[in-house]
Amino acid sequence: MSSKKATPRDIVRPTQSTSKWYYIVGAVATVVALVWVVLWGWQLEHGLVVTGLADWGSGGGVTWGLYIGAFIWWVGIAHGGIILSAAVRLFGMDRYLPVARLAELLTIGALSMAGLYIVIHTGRPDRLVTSVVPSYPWTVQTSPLAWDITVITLYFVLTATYLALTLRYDVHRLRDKLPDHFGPLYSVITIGYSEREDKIIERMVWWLALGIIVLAPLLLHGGVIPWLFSLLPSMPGWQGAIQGPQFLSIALTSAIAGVIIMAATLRRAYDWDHILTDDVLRGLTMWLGLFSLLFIWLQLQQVINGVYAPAVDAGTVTAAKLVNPVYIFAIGTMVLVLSYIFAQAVRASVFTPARSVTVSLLALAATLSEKVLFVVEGLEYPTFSLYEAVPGHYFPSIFELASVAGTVALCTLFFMAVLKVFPVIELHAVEEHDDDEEVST
Amino acid sequence: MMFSLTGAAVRALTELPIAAKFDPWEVAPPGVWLIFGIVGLPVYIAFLGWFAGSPRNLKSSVLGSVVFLTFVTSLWGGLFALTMVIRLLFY
Repeated sequence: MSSKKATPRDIVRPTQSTSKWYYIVGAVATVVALVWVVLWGWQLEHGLVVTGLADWGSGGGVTWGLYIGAFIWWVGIAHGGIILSAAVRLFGMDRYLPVARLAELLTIGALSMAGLYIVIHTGRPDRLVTSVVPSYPWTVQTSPLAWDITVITLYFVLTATYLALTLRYDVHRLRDKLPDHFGPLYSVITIGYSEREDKIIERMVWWLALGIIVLAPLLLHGGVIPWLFSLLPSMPGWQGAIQGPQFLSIALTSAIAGVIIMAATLRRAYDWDHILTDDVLRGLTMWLGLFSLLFIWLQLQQVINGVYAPAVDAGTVTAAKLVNPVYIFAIGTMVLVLSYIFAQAVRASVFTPARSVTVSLLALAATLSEKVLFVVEGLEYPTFSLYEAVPGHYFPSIFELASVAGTVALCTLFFMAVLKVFPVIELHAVEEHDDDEEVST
Repeated sequence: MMFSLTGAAVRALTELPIAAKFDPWEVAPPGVWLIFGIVGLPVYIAFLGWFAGSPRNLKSSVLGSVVFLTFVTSLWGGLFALTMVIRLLFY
Protein backbone atom coordinates (compact mmCIF):
# COMPACT_ATOMS: atom_id res chain seq x y z
CA MET A 1 0.00 0.00 0.00
CA SER A 2 1.26 3.44 -0.84
CA SER A 3 2.34 5.84 1.87
CA LYS A 4 1.42 8.88 -0.27
CA LYS A 5 -1.07 11.28 1.32
CA ALA A 6 -4.33 11.76 -0.57
CA THR A 7 -5.20 15.41 -1.15
CA PRO A 8 -8.11 17.28 -2.81
CA ARG A 9 -5.68 18.15 -5.59
CA ASP A 10 -5.54 14.44 -6.45
CA ILE A 11 -9.27 14.10 -6.91
CA VAL A 12 -9.66 17.13 -9.20
CA ARG A 13 -6.73 16.11 -11.42
CA PRO A 14 -8.95 14.42 -14.05
CA THR A 15 -10.73 17.76 -14.60
CA GLN A 16 -7.42 19.57 -15.15
CA SER A 17 -5.29 17.30 -17.30
CA THR A 18 -5.98 15.02 -20.24
CA SER A 19 -3.71 12.15 -21.12
CA LYS A 20 -3.05 10.56 -24.50
CA TRP A 21 -4.95 7.48 -23.32
CA TYR A 22 -8.02 9.56 -22.61
CA TYR A 23 -8.18 10.57 -26.29
CA ILE A 24 -7.46 7.04 -27.52
CA VAL A 25 -10.15 5.43 -25.34
CA GLY A 26 -12.57 8.26 -26.21
CA ALA A 27 -11.95 7.78 -29.95
CA VAL A 28 -12.40 4.01 -29.82
CA ALA A 29 -15.58 4.30 -27.72
CA THR A 30 -16.98 6.93 -30.11
CA VAL A 31 -16.35 4.72 -33.17
CA VAL A 32 -17.94 1.68 -31.50
CA ALA A 33 -20.95 3.73 -30.39
CA LEU A 34 -21.36 5.22 -33.88
CA VAL A 35 -21.21 1.81 -35.57
CA TRP A 36 -23.98 0.62 -33.29
CA VAL A 37 -26.05 3.80 -33.81
CA VAL A 38 -25.88 3.17 -37.58
CA LEU A 39 -27.08 -0.41 -37.04
CA TRP A 40 -29.87 0.77 -34.76
CA GLY A 41 -30.82 3.29 -37.44
CA TRP A 42 -31.06 0.39 -39.90
CA GLN A 43 -33.32 -1.44 -37.44
CA LEU A 44 -35.52 1.67 -37.05
CA GLU A 45 -35.71 2.05 -40.81
CA HIS A 46 -36.65 -1.56 -41.53
CA GLY A 47 -38.30 -2.61 -38.28
CA LEU A 48 -37.49 -4.96 -35.41
CA VAL A 49 -37.91 -7.84 -37.85
CA VAL A 50 -34.27 -7.37 -38.97
CA THR A 51 -33.22 -8.88 -35.63
CA GLY A 52 -35.53 -11.87 -36.05
CA LEU A 53 -37.14 -11.01 -32.71
CA ALA A 54 -40.35 -9.75 -34.22
CA ASP A 55 -40.83 -12.87 -36.28
CA TRP A 56 -42.27 -15.95 -34.56
CA GLY A 57 -41.53 -18.01 -37.65
CA SER A 58 -37.83 -18.28 -36.82
CA GLY A 59 -35.62 -18.68 -33.78
CA GLY A 60 -37.79 -21.26 -32.03
CA GLY A 61 -40.48 -18.80 -31.01
CA VAL A 62 -38.11 -16.43 -29.21
CA THR A 63 -39.31 -12.84 -29.30
CA TRP A 64 -37.19 -11.63 -26.40
CA GLY A 65 -33.46 -12.24 -26.65
CA LEU A 66 -30.21 -10.43 -26.08
CA TYR A 67 -31.96 -7.05 -25.84
CA ILE A 68 -33.97 -8.08 -22.79
CA GLY A 69 -31.08 -10.11 -21.33
CA ALA A 70 -28.82 -7.06 -21.65
CA PHE A 71 -31.52 -4.84 -20.16
CA ILE A 72 -31.59 -7.03 -17.02
CA TRP A 73 -27.78 -7.12 -16.99
CA TRP A 74 -27.47 -3.31 -17.07
CA VAL A 75 -30.07 -2.88 -14.33
CA GLY A 76 -28.06 -5.39 -12.31
CA ILE A 77 -24.82 -3.47 -12.81
CA ALA A 78 -26.64 -0.31 -11.76
CA HIS A 79 -27.23 -1.86 -8.35
CA GLY A 80 -23.72 -2.05 -7.16
CA GLY A 81 -23.14 1.46 -7.18
CA ILE A 82 -25.79 2.95 -5.11
CA ILE A 83 -26.08 0.02 -2.73
CA LEU A 84 -22.38 0.26 -1.98
CA SER A 85 -22.67 3.99 -1.46
CA ALA A 86 -25.78 3.63 0.71
CA ALA A 87 -24.04 0.96 2.79
CA VAL A 88 -21.14 3.37 3.37
CA ARG A 89 -23.55 5.93 4.81
CA LEU A 90 -25.91 3.63 6.68
CA PHE A 91 -23.50 1.09 8.11
CA GLY A 92 -20.37 3.24 8.42
CA MET A 93 -18.38 1.17 5.91
CA ASP A 94 -15.92 4.05 5.52
CA ARG A 95 -13.31 1.82 3.96
CA TYR A 96 -15.33 2.02 0.73
CA LEU A 97 -15.94 5.78 0.83
CA PRO A 98 -13.37 6.38 -1.98
CA VAL A 99 -15.48 4.28 -4.39
CA ALA A 100 -18.87 5.60 -3.23
CA ARG A 101 -19.30 8.30 -5.88
CA LEU A 102 -17.84 6.13 -8.63
CA ALA A 103 -20.45 3.61 -7.64
CA GLU A 104 -23.27 6.19 -7.72
CA LEU A 105 -22.16 7.27 -11.20
CA LEU A 106 -22.12 3.65 -12.30
CA THR A 107 -25.75 3.45 -11.23
CA ILE A 108 -26.69 6.49 -13.34
CA GLY A 109 -24.72 5.32 -16.39
CA ALA A 110 -25.85 1.69 -16.24
CA LEU A 111 -29.48 2.53 -15.55
CA SER A 112 -29.49 4.89 -18.54
CA MET A 113 -28.25 2.03 -20.72
CA ALA A 114 -30.99 -0.23 -19.33
CA GLY A 115 -33.58 2.44 -20.18
CA LEU A 116 -32.11 2.72 -23.66
CA TYR A 117 -32.65 -1.02 -24.14
CA ILE A 118 -36.36 -0.52 -23.50
CA VAL A 119 -36.39 2.07 -26.28
CA ILE A 120 -34.34 -0.16 -28.61
CA HIS A 121 -36.56 -3.18 -28.11
CA THR A 122 -39.77 -1.32 -28.83
CA GLY A 123 -41.17 -1.85 -32.32
CA ARG A 124 -42.24 1.80 -32.54
CA PRO A 125 -40.08 3.67 -29.99
CA ASP A 126 -41.61 6.98 -31.11
CA ARG A 127 -44.85 5.84 -29.45
CA LEU A 128 -43.21 4.83 -26.18
CA VAL A 129 -43.93 7.93 -24.07
CA THR A 130 -47.20 8.85 -25.73
CA SER A 131 -48.61 5.37 -25.12
CA VAL A 132 -47.11 4.63 -21.68
CA VAL A 133 -47.86 7.91 -19.90
CA PRO A 134 -51.55 8.48 -20.79
CA SER A 135 -52.48 4.85 -20.02
CA TYR A 136 -50.45 4.67 -16.81
CA PRO A 137 -53.38 5.06 -14.33
CA TRP A 138 -54.89 1.86 -15.76
CA THR A 139 -51.80 -0.19 -16.67
CA VAL A 140 -50.17 0.27 -13.26
CA GLN A 141 -53.07 -1.59 -11.69
CA THR A 142 -52.23 -4.88 -13.34
CA SER A 143 -49.18 -4.73 -15.61
CA PRO A 144 -45.72 -5.78 -14.30
CA LEU A 145 -44.25 -3.75 -17.19
CA ALA A 146 -45.84 -0.60 -15.75
CA TRP A 147 -44.53 -1.55 -12.28
CA ASP A 148 -41.10 -2.01 -13.77
CA ILE A 149 -41.11 1.44 -15.36
CA THR A 150 -42.32 2.97 -12.09
CA VAL A 151 -39.60 1.46 -9.94
CA ILE A 152 -36.80 2.13 -12.46
CA THR A 153 -37.90 5.78 -12.59
CA LEU A 154 -37.90 5.99 -8.78
CA TYR A 155 -34.50 4.31 -8.54
CA PHE A 156 -32.94 6.60 -11.14
CA VAL A 157 -34.40 9.75 -9.60
CA LEU A 158 -33.48 8.82 -6.02
CA THR A 159 -29.90 8.09 -7.12
CA ALA A 160 -29.60 11.30 -9.14
CA THR A 161 -30.99 13.33 -6.21
CA TYR A 162 -28.54 11.61 -3.88
CA LEU A 163 -25.66 12.48 -6.20
CA ALA A 164 -26.81 16.08 -6.71
CA LEU A 165 -27.09 16.72 -2.97
CA THR A 166 -23.69 15.23 -2.10
CA LEU A 167 -22.01 17.17 -4.93
CA ARG A 168 -22.96 20.54 -3.36
CA TYR A 169 -20.45 20.13 -0.53
CA ASP A 170 -17.60 19.12 -2.83
CA VAL A 171 -18.24 21.60 -5.63
CA HIS A 172 -18.45 24.53 -3.18
CA ARG A 173 -15.17 23.68 -1.53
CA LEU A 174 -13.26 22.73 -4.67
CA ARG A 175 -14.71 25.46 -6.88
CA ASP A 176 -11.41 27.30 -7.39
CA LYS A 177 -9.76 24.06 -8.58
CA LEU A 178 -12.49 23.09 -11.03
CA PRO A 179 -12.52 24.28 -14.67
CA ASP A 180 -14.02 27.75 -15.20
CA HIS A 181 -15.90 26.82 -18.37
CA PHE A 182 -18.34 24.74 -16.31
CA GLY A 183 -18.93 27.69 -13.95
CA PRO A 184 -22.66 28.09 -14.77
CA LEU A 185 -23.23 24.38 -14.08
CA TYR A 186 -21.43 24.61 -10.73
CA SER A 187 -23.55 27.68 -9.87
CA VAL A 188 -26.73 25.69 -10.50
CA ILE A 189 -25.51 22.75 -8.42
CA THR A 190 -24.56 24.95 -5.45
CA ILE A 191 -27.57 27.27 -5.69
CA GLY A 192 -28.47 28.64 -2.25
CA TYR A 193 -25.58 26.73 -0.63
CA SER A 194 -24.46 27.64 2.86
CA GLU A 195 -22.15 25.67 5.13
CA ARG A 196 -24.91 25.58 7.73
CA GLU A 197 -26.79 23.11 5.54
CA ASP A 198 -24.02 20.47 5.59
CA LYS A 199 -25.32 18.50 8.55
CA ILE A 200 -28.91 18.70 7.29
CA ILE A 201 -28.02 17.61 3.75
CA GLU A 202 -25.92 14.79 5.20
CA ARG A 203 -29.01 13.61 7.10
CA MET A 204 -31.23 13.98 4.01
CA VAL A 205 -28.78 11.84 2.08
CA TRP A 206 -28.92 9.30 4.92
CA TRP A 207 -32.71 9.11 4.52
CA LEU A 208 -32.30 8.67 0.77
CA ALA A 209 -29.74 5.92 1.37
CA LEU A 210 -32.22 4.19 3.67
CA GLY A 211 -34.92 4.34 1.00
CA ILE A 212 -32.59 3.18 -1.77
CA ILE A 213 -31.12 0.24 0.14
CA VAL A 214 -34.63 -1.20 0.51
CA LEU A 215 -36.03 -0.17 -2.87
CA ALA A 216 -33.18 -1.23 -5.15
CA PRO A 217 -32.33 -4.76 -4.01
CA LEU A 218 -35.61 -5.97 -2.55
CA LEU A 219 -38.21 -4.27 -4.70
CA LEU A 220 -36.45 -3.61 -8.01
CA HIS A 221 -33.98 -6.35 -8.87
CA GLY A 222 -35.41 -8.76 -6.33
CA GLY A 223 -38.94 -7.57 -7.10
CA VAL A 224 -40.43 -6.02 -10.22
CA ILE A 225 -37.70 -7.21 -12.64
CA PRO A 226 -38.02 -10.94 -11.78
CA TRP A 227 -41.82 -10.50 -11.65
CA LEU A 228 -41.71 -9.57 -15.35
CA PHE A 229 -40.93 -13.26 -15.85
CA SER A 230 -41.87 -15.26 -12.78
CA LEU A 231 -45.53 -14.20 -12.79
CA LEU A 232 -46.11 -15.74 -16.22
CA PRO A 233 -47.58 -19.19 -15.64
CA SER A 234 -46.86 -20.66 -19.07
CA MET A 235 -43.05 -20.42 -18.98
CA PRO A 236 -41.61 -22.97 -16.50
CA GLY A 237 -38.06 -21.69 -17.04
CA TRP A 238 -39.13 -18.32 -15.67
CA GLN A 239 -41.45 -19.38 -12.92
CA GLY A 240 -41.05 -19.57 -9.19
CA ALA A 241 -40.43 -17.33 -6.20
CA ILE A 242 -36.73 -18.25 -6.35
CA GLN A 243 -36.34 -15.85 -9.28
CA GLY A 244 -36.34 -12.89 -6.83
CA PRO A 245 -33.23 -13.91 -4.87
CA GLN A 246 -31.67 -15.41 -8.01
CA PHE A 247 -31.99 -12.16 -9.96
CA LEU A 248 -30.70 -10.20 -6.99
CA SER A 249 -27.62 -12.41 -6.49
CA ILE A 250 -26.74 -12.10 -10.18
CA ALA A 251 -27.30 -8.33 -10.08
CA LEU A 252 -25.05 -7.87 -7.07
CA THR A 253 -22.37 -10.06 -8.67
CA SER A 254 -22.28 -7.99 -11.85
CA ALA A 255 -22.59 -4.74 -9.91
CA ILE A 256 -19.56 -5.32 -7.69
CA ALA A 257 -17.64 -6.55 -10.75
CA GLY A 258 -18.46 -3.25 -12.49
CA VAL A 259 -17.27 -1.20 -9.51
CA ILE A 260 -14.00 -3.18 -9.32
CA ILE A 261 -13.28 -2.62 -13.03
CA MET A 262 -13.98 1.11 -12.77
CA ALA A 263 -12.01 1.61 -9.57
CA ALA A 264 -8.99 -0.32 -10.86
CA THR A 265 -9.05 1.47 -14.22
CA LEU A 266 -9.16 4.94 -12.65
CA ARG A 267 -6.53 3.98 -10.11
CA ARG A 268 -4.21 3.04 -12.97
CA ALA A 269 -5.10 6.06 -15.09
CA TYR A 270 -4.66 8.70 -12.34
CA ASP A 271 -2.11 7.08 -10.04
CA TRP A 272 -4.73 6.79 -7.33
CA ASP A 273 -3.22 3.74 -5.67
CA HIS A 274 -3.08 5.75 -2.41
CA ILE A 275 -6.84 6.49 -2.62
CA LEU A 276 -8.25 3.38 -4.27
CA THR A 277 -5.92 1.17 -2.30
CA ASP A 278 -5.19 -2.56 -2.56
CA ASP A 279 -7.19 -2.89 0.63
CA VAL A 280 -10.30 -1.39 -1.03
CA LEU A 281 -9.95 -3.51 -4.19
CA ARG A 282 -9.31 -6.69 -2.22
CA GLY A 283 -12.31 -5.97 0.00
CA LEU A 284 -14.52 -5.46 -3.08
CA THR A 285 -13.19 -8.70 -4.54
CA MET A 286 -14.23 -10.52 -1.36
CA TRP A 287 -17.74 -9.10 -1.75
CA LEU A 288 -17.70 -10.31 -5.35
CA GLY A 289 -16.87 -13.75 -3.99
CA LEU A 290 -19.80 -13.72 -1.56
CA PHE A 291 -22.31 -12.69 -4.23
CA SER A 292 -20.86 -15.18 -6.74
CA LEU A 293 -21.31 -17.91 -4.16
CA LEU A 294 -24.95 -16.95 -3.70
CA PHE A 295 -25.40 -16.95 -7.49
CA ILE A 296 -24.01 -20.50 -7.77
CA TRP A 297 -25.98 -21.70 -4.73
CA LEU A 298 -29.30 -20.46 -6.12
CA GLN A 299 -28.48 -22.08 -9.48
CA LEU A 300 -27.97 -25.34 -7.59
CA GLN A 301 -31.40 -24.94 -6.01
CA GLN A 302 -33.01 -24.49 -9.41
CA VAL A 303 -31.11 -27.35 -11.02
CA ILE A 304 -31.84 -29.89 -8.27
CA ASN A 305 -35.52 -28.97 -8.31
CA GLY A 306 -35.52 -29.20 -12.10
CA VAL A 307 -33.94 -32.65 -12.38
CA TYR A 308 -34.96 -34.68 -9.30
CA ALA A 309 -38.67 -35.30 -9.91
CA PRO A 310 -39.82 -32.33 -11.95
CA ALA A 311 -43.09 -31.67 -13.69
CA VAL A 312 -42.70 -32.52 -17.39
CA ASP A 313 -42.42 -28.91 -18.61
CA ALA A 314 -39.93 -27.87 -15.88
CA GLY A 315 -37.83 -30.96 -16.53
CA THR A 316 -37.63 -30.18 -20.25
CA VAL A 317 -36.36 -26.63 -19.76
CA THR A 318 -33.86 -27.71 -17.07
CA ALA A 319 -32.47 -30.47 -19.28
CA ALA A 320 -32.14 -28.02 -22.18
CA LYS A 321 -30.35 -25.54 -19.92
CA LEU A 322 -27.90 -28.04 -18.50
CA VAL A 323 -26.59 -29.13 -21.91
CA ASN A 324 -26.49 -25.65 -23.39
CA PRO A 325 -22.86 -24.49 -23.95
CA VAL A 326 -23.82 -20.97 -22.85
CA TYR A 327 -24.95 -22.26 -19.45
CA ILE A 328 -21.86 -24.45 -19.10
CA PHE A 329 -19.73 -21.39 -19.91
CA ALA A 330 -21.58 -19.20 -17.39
CA ILE A 331 -21.41 -21.63 -14.49
CA GLY A 332 -17.87 -22.83 -15.31
CA THR A 333 -16.71 -19.21 -15.40
CA MET A 334 -18.33 -18.43 -12.06
CA VAL A 335 -16.59 -21.47 -10.52
CA LEU A 336 -13.30 -20.12 -11.89
CA VAL A 337 -14.04 -16.68 -10.43
CA LEU A 338 -14.85 -18.21 -7.06
CA SER A 339 -11.69 -20.31 -7.11
CA TYR A 340 -9.52 -17.22 -7.55
CA ILE A 341 -11.36 -15.30 -4.84
CA PHE A 342 -11.06 -18.24 -2.46
CA ALA A 343 -7.34 -18.48 -3.21
CA GLN A 344 -6.74 -14.78 -2.54
CA ALA A 345 -8.78 -15.03 0.65
CA VAL A 346 -6.58 -17.86 1.89
CA ARG A 347 -3.30 -16.37 0.69
CA ALA A 348 -3.22 -12.59 0.36
CA SER A 349 -0.21 -12.68 -1.98
CA VAL A 350 -2.41 -14.24 -4.68
CA PHE A 351 -4.32 -10.94 -4.95
CA THR A 352 -3.36 -8.39 -7.58
CA PRO A 353 -5.58 -5.60 -8.96
CA ALA A 354 -5.11 -6.96 -12.50
CA ARG A 355 -6.36 -10.41 -11.46
CA SER A 356 -9.36 -8.88 -9.71
CA VAL A 357 -10.20 -6.97 -12.89
CA THR A 358 -9.86 -10.16 -14.93
CA VAL A 359 -12.24 -12.13 -12.70
CA SER A 360 -14.63 -9.16 -12.68
CA LEU A 361 -14.70 -9.16 -16.50
CA LEU A 362 -15.28 -12.92 -16.45
CA ALA A 363 -18.09 -12.50 -13.91
CA LEU A 364 -19.73 -9.87 -16.14
CA ALA A 365 -19.48 -12.20 -19.16
CA ALA A 366 -20.99 -15.03 -17.10
CA THR A 367 -23.89 -12.96 -15.75
CA LEU A 368 -24.73 -11.59 -19.20
CA SER A 369 -24.66 -15.10 -20.71
CA GLU A 370 -26.83 -16.56 -17.95
CA LYS A 371 -29.38 -13.77 -18.18
CA VAL A 372 -29.70 -13.96 -21.96
CA LEU A 373 -30.05 -17.74 -21.80
CA PHE A 374 -32.67 -17.41 -19.05
CA VAL A 375 -34.77 -15.11 -21.24
CA VAL A 376 -34.35 -17.20 -24.41
CA GLU A 377 -34.91 -20.66 -22.95
CA GLY A 378 -37.92 -19.49 -20.99
CA LEU A 379 -39.53 -18.63 -24.32
CA GLU A 380 -38.23 -21.64 -26.25
CA TYR A 381 -39.56 -24.22 -23.78
CA PRO A 382 -43.05 -23.17 -22.70
CA THR A 383 -45.66 -25.39 -21.10
CA PHE A 384 -47.36 -27.76 -23.61
CA SER A 385 -44.39 -27.30 -26.00
CA LEU A 386 -46.33 -24.48 -27.56
CA TYR A 387 -43.65 -23.58 -30.12
CA GLU A 388 -42.40 -27.09 -30.89
CA ALA A 389 -43.26 -26.69 -34.55
CA VAL A 390 -41.53 -23.32 -34.81
CA PRO A 391 -38.27 -23.99 -36.63
CA GLY A 392 -34.77 -23.01 -35.57
CA HIS A 393 -33.10 -21.83 -32.41
CA TYR A 394 -32.45 -18.31 -31.29
CA PHE A 395 -29.06 -16.80 -32.02
CA PRO A 396 -28.46 -13.07 -31.48
CA SER A 397 -28.31 -10.98 -34.64
CA ILE A 398 -25.51 -8.55 -35.45
CA PHE A 399 -27.83 -5.71 -34.39
CA GLU A 400 -28.20 -7.17 -30.91
CA LEU A 401 -24.54 -8.10 -30.51
CA ALA A 402 -23.49 -4.61 -31.60
CA SER A 403 -25.88 -3.10 -29.06
CA VAL A 404 -23.89 -4.61 -26.17
CA ALA A 405 -20.65 -3.10 -27.51
CA GLY A 406 -22.48 0.15 -28.28
CA THR A 407 -23.98 0.56 -24.82
CA VAL A 408 -20.67 -0.31 -23.13
CA ALA A 409 -19.06 2.38 -25.33
CA LEU A 410 -21.78 4.91 -24.46
CA CYS A 411 -21.39 4.20 -20.75
CA THR A 412 -17.61 4.64 -21.10
CA LEU A 413 -18.14 7.99 -22.85
CA PHE A 414 -20.52 9.05 -20.07
CA PHE A 415 -17.81 8.37 -17.48
CA MET A 416 -15.17 10.13 -19.52
CA ALA A 417 -17.41 13.21 -19.72
CA VAL A 418 -18.14 13.15 -15.98
CA LEU A 419 -14.42 12.87 -15.22
CA LYS A 420 -13.94 16.27 -16.86
CA VAL A 421 -16.73 17.97 -14.91
CA PHE A 422 -16.87 16.67 -11.32
CA PRO A 423 -14.57 15.00 -8.83
CA VAL A 424 -15.48 11.30 -9.03
CA ILE A 425 -14.11 10.68 -5.57
CA GLU A 426 -15.87 12.33 -2.64
CA LEU A 427 -13.96 15.08 -0.90
CA HIS A 428 -14.76 13.41 2.42
CA ALA A 429 -12.67 10.44 1.32
CA VAL A 430 -9.48 12.52 1.23
CA GLU A 431 -10.28 15.22 3.79
CA GLU A 432 -8.92 13.32 6.74
CA HIS A 433 -5.53 13.39 5.02
CA ASP A 434 -5.84 16.97 3.99
CA ASP A 435 -3.88 19.97 5.09
CA ASP A 436 -6.28 22.89 5.66
CA GLU A 437 -4.69 25.07 3.03
CA GLU A 438 -5.53 22.57 0.29
CA VAL A 439 -9.25 23.33 0.44
CA SER A 440 -10.78 26.72 -0.08
CA THR A 441 -13.69 27.30 2.27
CA MET B 1 -78.65 -22.56 25.03
CA MET B 2 -74.99 -22.48 26.10
CA PHE B 3 -74.43 -26.01 24.83
CA SER B 4 -76.05 -25.29 21.51
CA LEU B 5 -73.82 -22.20 21.03
CA THR B 6 -70.67 -24.15 21.90
CA GLY B 7 -71.79 -26.97 19.67
CA ALA B 8 -72.39 -24.56 16.82
CA ALA B 9 -68.95 -22.98 17.32
CA VAL B 10 -67.22 -26.38 17.35
CA ARG B 11 -69.14 -27.41 14.26
CA ALA B 12 -68.22 -24.19 12.50
CA LEU B 13 -64.52 -24.67 13.29
CA THR B 14 -64.39 -28.33 12.29
CA GLU B 15 -66.37 -27.78 9.15
CA LEU B 16 -64.21 -24.91 7.84
CA PRO B 17 -63.15 -25.59 4.28
CA ILE B 18 -59.58 -26.92 4.08
CA ALA B 19 -58.57 -24.41 1.41
CA ALA B 20 -59.76 -20.88 2.03
CA LYS B 21 -59.92 -18.70 -1.03
CA PHE B 22 -58.18 -15.36 -1.02
CA ASP B 23 -58.10 -13.41 -4.22
CA PRO B 24 -56.24 -10.11 -3.93
CA TRP B 25 -57.84 -9.00 -7.19
CA GLU B 26 -61.17 -8.81 -5.35
CA VAL B 27 -59.74 -6.35 -2.81
CA ALA B 28 -57.96 -4.14 -5.35
CA PRO B 29 -55.89 -4.79 -8.47
CA PRO B 30 -52.41 -5.90 -7.29
CA GLY B 31 -50.58 -2.90 -8.73
CA VAL B 32 -52.55 -0.54 -6.51
CA TRP B 33 -51.43 -1.98 -3.19
CA LEU B 34 -48.10 -3.36 -4.44
CA ILE B 35 -46.77 -0.21 -6.08
CA PHE B 36 -48.43 2.54 -4.05
CA GLY B 37 -48.60 0.59 -0.78
CA ILE B 38 -45.37 -1.44 -0.62
CA VAL B 39 -42.89 -0.32 -3.29
CA GLY B 40 -43.62 3.34 -2.51
CA LEU B 41 -42.89 2.94 1.21
CA PRO B 42 -39.11 3.56 1.05
CA VAL B 43 -39.75 6.75 -0.92
CA TYR B 44 -42.46 7.97 1.48
CA ILE B 45 -40.14 7.28 4.42
CA ALA B 46 -37.28 9.23 2.80
CA PHE B 47 -39.54 12.25 2.25
CA LEU B 48 -40.99 11.92 5.76
CA GLY B 49 -37.44 11.91 7.12
CA TRP B 50 -36.63 15.08 5.15
CA PHE B 51 -39.65 17.02 6.38
CA ALA B 52 -40.19 15.57 9.87
CA GLY B 53 -36.82 14.10 10.87
CA SER B 54 -34.05 15.83 12.73
CA PRO B 55 -31.96 17.81 11.97
CA ARG B 56 -34.00 19.49 9.24
CA ASN B 57 -34.80 22.84 7.71
CA LEU B 58 -37.59 23.58 5.33
CA LYS B 59 -35.32 25.23 2.74
CA SER B 60 -33.17 22.10 2.32
CA SER B 61 -36.19 19.79 2.29
CA VAL B 62 -37.84 21.89 -0.42
CA LEU B 63 -34.57 22.01 -2.36
CA GLY B 64 -34.37 18.20 -2.23
CA SER B 65 -37.98 17.90 -3.39
CA VAL B 66 -37.39 20.31 -6.29
CA VAL B 67 -34.30 18.34 -7.34
CA PHE B 68 -36.32 15.11 -7.16
CA LEU B 69 -39.16 16.50 -9.30
CA THR B 70 -36.69 18.08 -11.74
CA PHE B 71 -35.09 14.69 -12.34
CA VAL B 72 -38.48 12.99 -12.84
CA THR B 73 -39.43 15.66 -15.38
CA SER B 74 -36.10 15.66 -17.18
CA LEU B 75 -35.99 11.86 -17.35
CA TRP B 76 -39.41 11.55 -19.00
CA GLY B 77 -39.02 14.84 -20.89
CA GLY B 78 -35.67 13.66 -22.27
CA LEU B 79 -37.18 10.32 -23.25
CA PHE B 80 -40.06 12.12 -24.96
CA ALA B 81 -37.60 14.33 -26.88
CA LEU B 82 -35.58 11.27 -27.97
CA THR B 83 -38.68 9.44 -29.18
CA MET B 84 -39.85 12.52 -31.09
CA VAL B 85 -36.46 12.78 -32.81
CA ILE B 86 -36.84 9.11 -33.78
CA ARG B 87 -40.31 9.89 -35.15
CA LEU B 88 -38.99 12.78 -37.22
CA LEU B 89 -36.12 10.77 -38.63
CA PHE B 90 -37.72 7.39 -39.23
CA TYR B 91 -41.53 7.53 -39.33
